[in-house]
Amino acid sequence: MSVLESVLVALTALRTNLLRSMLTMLGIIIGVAAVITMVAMGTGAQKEVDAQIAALGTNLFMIMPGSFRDHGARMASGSRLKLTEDDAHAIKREVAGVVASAPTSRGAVQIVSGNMNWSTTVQGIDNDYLLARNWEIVEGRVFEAREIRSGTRAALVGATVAEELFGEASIVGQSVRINNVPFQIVGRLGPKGQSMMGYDQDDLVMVPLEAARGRLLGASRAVAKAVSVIMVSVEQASMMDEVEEQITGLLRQRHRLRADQENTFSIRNMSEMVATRAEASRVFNMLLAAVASVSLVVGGIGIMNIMLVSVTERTREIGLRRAVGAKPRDILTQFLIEAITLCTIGGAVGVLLSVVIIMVTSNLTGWPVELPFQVIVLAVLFSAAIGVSFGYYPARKAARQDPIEALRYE
Amino acid sequence: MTLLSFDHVSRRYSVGGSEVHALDDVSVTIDAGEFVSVIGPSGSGKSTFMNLCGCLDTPSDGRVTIDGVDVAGMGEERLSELRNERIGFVFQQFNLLARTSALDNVALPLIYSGVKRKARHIEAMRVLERVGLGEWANHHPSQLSGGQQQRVAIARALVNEPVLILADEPTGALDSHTSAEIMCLFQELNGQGISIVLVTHEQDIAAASSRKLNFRDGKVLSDERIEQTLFLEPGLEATA
Repeated sequence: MSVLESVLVALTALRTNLLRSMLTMLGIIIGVAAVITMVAMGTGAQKEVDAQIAALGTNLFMIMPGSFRDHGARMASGSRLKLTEDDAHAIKREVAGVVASAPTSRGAVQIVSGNMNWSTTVQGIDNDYLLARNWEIVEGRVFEAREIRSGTRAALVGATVAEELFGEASIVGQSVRINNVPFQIVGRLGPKGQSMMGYDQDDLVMVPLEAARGRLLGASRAVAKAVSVIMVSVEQASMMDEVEEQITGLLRQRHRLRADQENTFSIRNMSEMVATRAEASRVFNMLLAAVASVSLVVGGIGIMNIMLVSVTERTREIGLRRAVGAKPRDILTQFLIEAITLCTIGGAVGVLLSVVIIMVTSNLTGWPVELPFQVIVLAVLFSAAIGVSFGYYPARKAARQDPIEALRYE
Repeated sequence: MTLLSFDHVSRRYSVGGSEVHALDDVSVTIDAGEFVSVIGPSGSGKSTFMNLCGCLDTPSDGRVTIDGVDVAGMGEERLSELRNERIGFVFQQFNLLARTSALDNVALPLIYSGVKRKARHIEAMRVLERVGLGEWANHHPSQLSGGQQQRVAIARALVNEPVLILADEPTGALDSHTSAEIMCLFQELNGQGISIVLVTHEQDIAAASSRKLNFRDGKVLSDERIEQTLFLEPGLEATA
């Protein structure tokens, strides 16, 4: 008996008990829909985290002036010894594996263009900062080395600020006043979206560090060339630990700390933080998928239950089929294919249902969802596998029946 | 020509630890073209005899040869094939598949002999016409009378052109009028050269055959050739 023949026989049998077949399928439908929906939402969330990682920049350290202890009293961070631009340059010069070491300072400013104004953050940078953060320019250009050196009044504008002040219009060459100081826009920054902490990373303007210090933020009198943060980007993730150690050593030496003194700065491994978050979201996704799979297994048990009932109910049919020439394996195949057909149809309907659910939820809630094609294929294959594993026992029971007994069954 | 031969055949079952001799040293031969009735009270071994004839069972001792093939020691697979090719079954309860057309019911054995769907339907239609139900091919069993259902079952038994038809109380669920019709059909088929073994406990049904095997306690009590009572066309009383 051919497989096609078996499928036809199975479909006929399923049609004769239509309501029961549908109810049995419902278990699989719900299970498959649950798994796919969970995976889709998980994948969407994962994508978002991945995007955040990419937006942050690769293998990133953030070095900040740390708190320190003065005769037992802990002082606020940044209150005494500051990081300087020279520290940043020294790191790049002396630590192997550092791709970019960007000194930056930031502060709140008011930016005005024509009759529009906007409160935002100004960030004093050099081009290493854009490198460290993988930040792209979508219009115009980055600062020239000359502009960095001399602290030219040039500005790169973040996507949000550009939108607020100029809308869709081209902004390169436009003049703006930042805290009443005229600057000329040289480029528009690509969008980065929300940061991990939830603030809008595109709500800022960047100016050369020297210009920020000299004209906007005011230079510290205590330490010339002081910066608030140094961003360091490392060539490879595997080098992070060693680079961290070397930076620590270098900065301690530069800040003339004795062996018994605490660090006056703190180094944060940003990539690690994001990686931890990504890992947490991955585990959470797997947990969701696992819970959803449980419903699929319950659906499988439903299939097994109904198949067992069906085998008992159709004992005489089995006896008859055996009498007219069905071999045990023909009977096995028939019932197995019935179970697989139930599951596969259920799986297919489940896929459709999940697509509907996903579209509706993502429209209503705006949750990011991503439905990888492989997941659909996998879900259908998986439900067929459930058909095989939960259908095998009832099918074997059917195939092993003694035809004489089966024919006599009342 | 010998169709079926039982050579010192025994069949034992163990029921709850003790052995039951369902058939005890039975030797019988049945020739092609015979119409044999098997009678006896329940527990006499006629069902076991029937199961052995139909390759549903194998003997504990002795040899059963069907159409020249020795069934002893055959596996389930071979037995299934043998049943499919050479035996046609007719049961008391018809055993038709519910919610399946008469045509598909008749075509069922052909599925297992690997005949293609189209050819199956042509063949099944031919046999249905032979039993006079050509117009009922698309009806489900529930839409047919008892007699018609049994005719469908007979058509199913005939569809693979078996060497032997085994009928197990084929009139047990039918009224006397319909029974006569069915027996008439059997005699007609026998007249066309088909061998029939009929199990019954009704003497007047057994009278349709030309040979009567009487079983008692697992043995053949008597084996006699009898004058065949002809069952006539529907509407007429059976006559001696």
